[in-house]
Amino acid sequence: MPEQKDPLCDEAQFDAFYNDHARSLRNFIFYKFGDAEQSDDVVQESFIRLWKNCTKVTLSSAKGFLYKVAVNLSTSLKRSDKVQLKYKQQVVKLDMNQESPEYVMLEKEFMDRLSEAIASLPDKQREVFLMNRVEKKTYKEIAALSGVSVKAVEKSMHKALLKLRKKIGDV
Amino acid sequence: MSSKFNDDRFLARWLNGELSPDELSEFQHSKDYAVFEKLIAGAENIESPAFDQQALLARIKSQQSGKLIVTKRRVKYLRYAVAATVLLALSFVFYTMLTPDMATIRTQVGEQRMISLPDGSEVVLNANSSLIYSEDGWEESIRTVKLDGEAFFKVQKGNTFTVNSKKGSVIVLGTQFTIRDVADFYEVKCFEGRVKVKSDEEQQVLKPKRSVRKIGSKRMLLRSIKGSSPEWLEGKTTFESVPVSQVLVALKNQFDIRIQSGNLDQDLIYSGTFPHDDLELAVKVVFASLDIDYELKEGNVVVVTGQ
Repeated sequence: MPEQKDPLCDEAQFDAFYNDHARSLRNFIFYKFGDAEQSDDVVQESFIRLWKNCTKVTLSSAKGFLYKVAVNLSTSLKRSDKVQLKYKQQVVKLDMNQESPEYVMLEKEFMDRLSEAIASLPDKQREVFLMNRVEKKTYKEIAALSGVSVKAVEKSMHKALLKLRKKIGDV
Repeated sequence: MSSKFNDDRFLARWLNGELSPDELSEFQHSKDYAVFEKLIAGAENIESPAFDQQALLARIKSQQSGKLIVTKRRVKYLRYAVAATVLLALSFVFYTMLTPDMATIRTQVGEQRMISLPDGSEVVLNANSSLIYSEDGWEESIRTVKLDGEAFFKVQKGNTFTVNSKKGSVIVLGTQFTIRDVADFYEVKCFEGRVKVKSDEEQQVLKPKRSVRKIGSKRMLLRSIKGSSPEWLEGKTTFESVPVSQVLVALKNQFDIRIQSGNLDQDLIYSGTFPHDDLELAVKVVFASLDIDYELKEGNVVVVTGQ
């Protein structure tokens, strides 16, 4: 037993692991379950459990452990909020000079509608959409994080886009 | 709707640039293409939510030092929390209206500070501690201060002088004494006069050169002390038979260090003195005397490697 090295029990290594994964886990939980404050609590609790189990969890399985704990915790807690997405005020535009005030209003309205539509997506689809579009995670990475196949992620993404398109209507 | 697409992953493949040229050009000519494009462009504006990574790490750490006690999740008790907050806010309003100005003195790690109280009594606050007291009302017999951490008191003769801290109260007339209320450790040392100590249901009156100590929920223990003033006033910390965890806390209060104690036996008992002005020597004195192998790493991290 004393021969065994448990890297996660080392505070410096644990901190490094935390810094690599905390933000990503937080946003994953936030996108999936919606409540920002609860996400922080869940991340906190998950890392504490990881620390407590540092002798049992290897470095390579730590990420999977972490996400599993966080999802289980979130599921057992009541979801209280709808995802509140923030977006930048300026909109991606092809030609800045062509912009008229009406256009800005329309864009703000569009962004509000889009945020609303994303928030009302089913959990899995919203999680995949935001992890891919905002966090820039690949389908493969998302699949690994949520423990499903890449195909399942792609299907969720496809469905998410169809739903959003339907909700937003014609623009 | 999905019937319009060749397969149930079509849009995902499109986003990933995996469509064949034919598929892509067909899609681009469909009337929905512009909507999808705008939708994806809009999603580019969505910001990753704000996240204070370091603050959360600090929260995790603070729970670890408390022996990794799993806290109740805040969310479940939100309703009570809101009610409590309202009550607290209200009581704070009344409190500030009815009570005189309060002064708070706080010391940093490695810092000590001398404080003169309105009645002429003197307090020396040891490192990483705080003292709260009222700035007026001292003439009308209110001589009460609140301590968090460790301090030496030299109290002028007069009315009852009370020091409240987390684990107890000390009541005196005029005297010199120290209080250490740190983590699960409560100790009062009397150097002059008489000191009455109350904690939980217990009460002790101390004569000079006597101290009382309480660890965790154990009973108070009377002890004798050497010296006529606390050692920490002379730039060193002395302990007699204290749990090693207290020594580690004291080291962390004097030096800006982190200690990775690993599976250090928390029941180890330490007696000894370490200086406040020499980190390497202090760490060596503590760990070597306990026969603990350690490494002092960069960034003032002490790693315990064996016993």
